[in-house]
Amino acid sequence: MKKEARKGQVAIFVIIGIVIVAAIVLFFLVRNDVLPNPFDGGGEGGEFDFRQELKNDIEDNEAINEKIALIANQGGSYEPENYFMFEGNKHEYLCETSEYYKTCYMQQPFLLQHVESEVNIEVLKEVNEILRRTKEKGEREGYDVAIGNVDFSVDFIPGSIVFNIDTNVRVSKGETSKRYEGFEIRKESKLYDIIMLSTAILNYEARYGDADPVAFMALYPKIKVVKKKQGDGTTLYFVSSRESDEKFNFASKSLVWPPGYQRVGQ
Amino acid sequence: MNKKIGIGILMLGVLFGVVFIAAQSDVSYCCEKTMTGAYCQNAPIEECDRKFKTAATSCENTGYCQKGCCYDSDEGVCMENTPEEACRAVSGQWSDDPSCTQTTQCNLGCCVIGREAAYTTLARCNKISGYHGVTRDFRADVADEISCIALATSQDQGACVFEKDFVNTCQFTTRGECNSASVSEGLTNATTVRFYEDYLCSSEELNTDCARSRGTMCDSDGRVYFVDTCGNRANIYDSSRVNNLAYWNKIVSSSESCSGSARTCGNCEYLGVGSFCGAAERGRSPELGDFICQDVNCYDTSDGKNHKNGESWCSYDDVGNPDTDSVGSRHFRHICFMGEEIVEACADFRGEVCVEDVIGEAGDFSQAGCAVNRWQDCILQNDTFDCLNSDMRDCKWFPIDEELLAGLSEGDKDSDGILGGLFDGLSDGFGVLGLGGGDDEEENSLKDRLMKGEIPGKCIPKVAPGLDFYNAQGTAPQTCSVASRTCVVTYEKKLVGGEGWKPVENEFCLEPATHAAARQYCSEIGDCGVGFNYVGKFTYTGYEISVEDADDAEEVEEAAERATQAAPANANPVTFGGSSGAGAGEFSQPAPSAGGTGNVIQGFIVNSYNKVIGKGKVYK
Repeated sequence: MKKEARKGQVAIFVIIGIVIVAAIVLFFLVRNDVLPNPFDGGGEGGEFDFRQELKNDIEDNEAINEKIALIANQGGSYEPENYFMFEGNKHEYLCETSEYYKTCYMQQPFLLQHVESEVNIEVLKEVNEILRRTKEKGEREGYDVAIGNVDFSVDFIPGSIVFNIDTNVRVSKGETSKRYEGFEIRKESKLYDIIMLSTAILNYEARYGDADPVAFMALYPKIKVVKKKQGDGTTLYFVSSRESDEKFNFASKSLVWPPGYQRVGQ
Repeated sequence: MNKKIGIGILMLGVLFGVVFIAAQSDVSYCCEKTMTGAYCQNAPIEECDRKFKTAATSCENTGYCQKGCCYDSDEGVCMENTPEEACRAVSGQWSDDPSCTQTTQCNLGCCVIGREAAYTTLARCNKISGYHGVTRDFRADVADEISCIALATSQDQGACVFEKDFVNTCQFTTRGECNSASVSEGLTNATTVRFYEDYLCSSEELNTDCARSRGTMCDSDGRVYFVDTCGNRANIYDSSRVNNLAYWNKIVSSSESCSGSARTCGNCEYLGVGSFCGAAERGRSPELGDFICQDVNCYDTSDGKNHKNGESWCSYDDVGNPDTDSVGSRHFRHICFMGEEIVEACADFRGEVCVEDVIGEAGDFSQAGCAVNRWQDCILQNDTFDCLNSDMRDCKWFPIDEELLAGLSEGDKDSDGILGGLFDGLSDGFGVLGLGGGDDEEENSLKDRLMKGEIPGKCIPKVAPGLDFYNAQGTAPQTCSVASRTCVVTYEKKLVGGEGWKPVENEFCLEPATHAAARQYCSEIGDCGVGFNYVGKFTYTGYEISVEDADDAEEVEEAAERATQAAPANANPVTFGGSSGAGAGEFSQPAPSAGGTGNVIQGFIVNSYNKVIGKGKVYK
């Protein structure tokens, strides 16, 4: 009797041991992506991955890309009011003075946040549309998709634009269901570096009335800075990444010398 | 009676209102915000956003448009010259410190992030460190950006070995970054993190899972490096040493690394040789890997030459001669950067001029820049030394003197070209620091006389400024009118005998050479007088010489007086002295010449008005 009980005990330990080893092996296989994680992305059976669908749609969405490009090309605003028109494109004045011989007044002190805010406002419609389309796609594939209230924000960080979609999504099919609590979708972009370099250029414009593109390009060889001076004293800056097609254009008017003699303050 | 008084008051009120409105529309107001959303701009009152403050003065004189420092505590960025309202609108912290040098949060220091560094604020360092997932390393005692970069490059580098997921692995990093917090998650045992200075992760001595490979990568210094199987940077790419175990063991400096063909060597030199790591293109691939040292110099540029990466040089609309200064012409700066020629126009109206020089041991690296053309007070200088003081202004001396003219041969007098050439020869190259090095004795003597102030003349801009003569509200007429002159020629006739009236004073004013000199002087002042524009169109109408007869001395005197009055007050040579000009640093607008239109120059005189005997002619 004692011997049988001992045998049973050993069997239980062996079974527990096998389960532990199997769990560890499974853990590493999943961790190293040898096996798909059924909970990663909620794709039960790997058929419908809401997160991935959303990511692909946002990354490839032409309307979003065009709006971000337009905002960046115009100096950070979707519809700038105070701008210089050059070759059919608006360039917002980010530092300006209307007086001769004076350095400019900074117009958008928090440039990065301003651009983020503009992108946030303009892209929200597209993001909601993408959410709706992704939901419909899931439903066409036989899933029940429920989306809660959507809160959306955009962050520019080095190397990426981050789309933060704060919403609850529940994807279910039959007995199985998956719940998502928000999405952080990163889109590759060099705009953060470009905009931060532009703020440095603006500080030079404010202090000295000019900025030397060579000085900036020597420090940041992967960024190209081109300056075009206009007849009225406006200087247009075209800051672009050599690694991508992204660019940020803006206008500045600082320390303008008039043609001929002019009274101070005129 | 009361009704009449009432109507009278009403009319006065209307009249006053009309005058007030008319006056108001002419006045420039400082708008705290304009209708287009711009902060602190001087504009007519109707362009001001009335929800914000306005005052009929320059923004500089208002309290609400004082420039200050706007601190962004989120990004750690300080923005200079920000109006308080603009800063408040974005919830920034504003301080009365336009250059942000006195604002504590804006103090700069060296933010070391791995093998890179940024000279920035403490808050920004926190932010950047967070983005890179590293602990903050802020050195407040570093004085400048160069020292900061030097600090980053001088850090100890090596292999950071640790156990992750029960595997001994490695990360190539700095000593400071080699700790349990920096190396990635999944650390099996935090106490096993060890730093091996100067070792590569591929070193067999370290016994990690990182091995040598045939792959390459670009690093932030622009060189091509081998990469190990863990993705760590190894030594500079050298195809001949790919299987050399020693080369995969410890760090080899760039100076001890290979040199030569980009196919076999990745030791690119960004500023010296002009090569930078980039993805290999079809037809130009390295022996190993996907990256190669790309040539970033510029070949066959617009000046027909080859230029090194980082070089810059000047070009002018008036090819070959920047001092020609034709109407509409500009100066340009060309830059060679990353294999691309970038053209940058200097400020329009020749408000900036392009200056260039060569640097480097071999003196073959050209550097150019657009510098402000300081022409404004040239005409106020009477003294040669002051005129040619290049520390203060950009002027040249235009020698004009009747004796000089009288000394010319008849041939020279008749030839505008030769005369013009003589003046150019005299004036060009006479910088205070750079007297011409001609051997000719006569020329040297002339230079000596010039520097001693023995050659009378006029101080004029070295590069004549452009004018907005096409603008009805512009100041071209006033600027050009300073070249207008009147010359009184005195004639004499003997009572007995003689051959009639003969000029006895200022007769040089009748000479064609004088007219030629006057014409040139006119053009040297700005976009005035006759001449070509930058596309080669000639204008005849910018200059005029007229002769006015006077029947007797009294009439001649009156005519001369009229001419003097018609000329701008500060156009008289006597009033041109620097101290007698307008306030220091500010240039007043010369009085408009009567009937002056566009860039018309009416005449020329060299000396003051002399006593008049007999019949005279007034040139105006």
